[in-house]
Amino acid sequence: MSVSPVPSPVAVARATPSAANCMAALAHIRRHELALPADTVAMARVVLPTLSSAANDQWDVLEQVAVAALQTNEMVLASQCIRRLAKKFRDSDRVRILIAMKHEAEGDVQVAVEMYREIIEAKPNSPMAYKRLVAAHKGAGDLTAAANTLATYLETYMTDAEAWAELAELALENGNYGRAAFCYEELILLEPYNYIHHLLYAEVMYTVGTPEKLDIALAYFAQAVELSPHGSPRALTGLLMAAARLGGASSTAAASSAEGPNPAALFKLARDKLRLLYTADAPQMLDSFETMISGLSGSAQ
Amino acid sequence: MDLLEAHGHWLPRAAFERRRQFFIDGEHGMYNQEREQVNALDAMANNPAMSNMMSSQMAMIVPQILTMGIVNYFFSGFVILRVPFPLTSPFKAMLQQGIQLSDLNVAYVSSLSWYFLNLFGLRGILDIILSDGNAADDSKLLKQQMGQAGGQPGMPQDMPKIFAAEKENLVLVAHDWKVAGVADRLVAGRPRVASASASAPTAKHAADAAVAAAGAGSDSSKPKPRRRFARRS
Repeated sequence: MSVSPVPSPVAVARATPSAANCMAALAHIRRHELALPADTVAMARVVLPTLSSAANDQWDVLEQVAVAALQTNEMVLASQCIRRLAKKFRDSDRVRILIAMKHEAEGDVQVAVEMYREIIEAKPNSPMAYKRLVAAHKGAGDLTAAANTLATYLETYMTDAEAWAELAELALENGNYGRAAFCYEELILLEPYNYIHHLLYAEVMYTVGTPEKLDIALAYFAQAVELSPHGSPRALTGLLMAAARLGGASSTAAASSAEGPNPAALFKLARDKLRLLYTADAPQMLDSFETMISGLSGSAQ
Repeated sequence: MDLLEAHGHWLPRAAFERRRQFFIDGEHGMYNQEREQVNALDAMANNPAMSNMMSSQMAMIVPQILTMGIVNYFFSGFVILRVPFPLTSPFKAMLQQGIQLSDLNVAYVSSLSWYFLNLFGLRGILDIILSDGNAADDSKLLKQQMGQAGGQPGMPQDMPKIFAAEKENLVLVAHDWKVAGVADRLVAGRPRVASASASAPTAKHAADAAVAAAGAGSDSSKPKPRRRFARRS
């Protein structure tokens, strides 16, 4: 995982699972927010029996292990951790959230949702509870409720880029392209140099597909190609498709050079770059690519 | 500072205008809504840190006043020493408190004045001798106060004024769609750094196109109440 010559603490702990190594690995997982629930549970089995009450991070470890245990369906271990935390922190929202998560894991999503709602009602400034509520709705398959909860959350925490991205995905799932476009616009405002946002925005615009939206899609696909390190294939493909939709694929359009973004030139550019990429990385796919190109050119004429 | 001002040029014209309207449009604009003025004194009274400071100050002041009364009663009215050098008459107020003799030489010091001189003049030395190794208390206190003065906790800011300034800035922003020139640049194979000169000729065209798009979409130019999210199904 890590490029540096120093092996990652997780790898060390996997090789020699001593208590000290496992503690270091758990701290590493916590700090970098790695999603390794199985490893976490395995290390917890080594660490927990000897976890000294003097250790500064014992409560962090317990919370971390509780979440990982819930993710891997280790209910006994999770209950142990949560009980120890609840004993120490009687009136804590974080413990309450853990208990609610246990309900979620057991399938009582409705109970969990009620608990999250109570926490939010008592303290509207608890982003953790909001995010869990969104996750619970999403897990239960109620995407509309998830999206609306997330929208309420974003009215307060409007600089949370990941939340905007999540809402955009939910909106796409719901088929609400207007809202998805709005989210990607916000993301572009927040992080204008991340080409992913430009790319996804262009894809939404392309999907909506009215003429003026296609113009915007073409511009933002071009923007994504320029911003991405080596011209992302996904952005190039988008550029190709958008240019084809705008009539750039036909051979007659290639001659006319209108002012402004020229679909024909962009089509040719994307086609050549993609052809190079296919030749280099996936020669077995080159034939189907050429078929697609000729299909696009044929349908445009 | 404002996100829309700084990065709004990355959005299409219609999207930018929609956000601008959200802030400045008519009565419903974010910056135009009436806000209740927060009274500075109320805010201070409601601030627990402030009232804590007041009560601790009071606890210091009451014994001070009592001590002063006692000292005044017992020590006033007699001369206690004579400084061995001549002084000019302005020192009279400082050295001869509690004695109403206009002719007395300024070199004679009254007991009350001597008490005060010692109280204030020897504070540093007394701190070193009497305190348990935290003689730096004063400087710590000073630092604390300085920090507070910088942050101004609980002091209400004048939001209407800030909003008015922000609104003015936002009204003045000329939207210059940065994405407009990218396609041409890409086709011409020019690098990104030349963006200023490359995008100039096409910017106008793109802006026109965007205005046309906004008109066709009929979505951005109507002054109607707007929510943060477009709730369309």
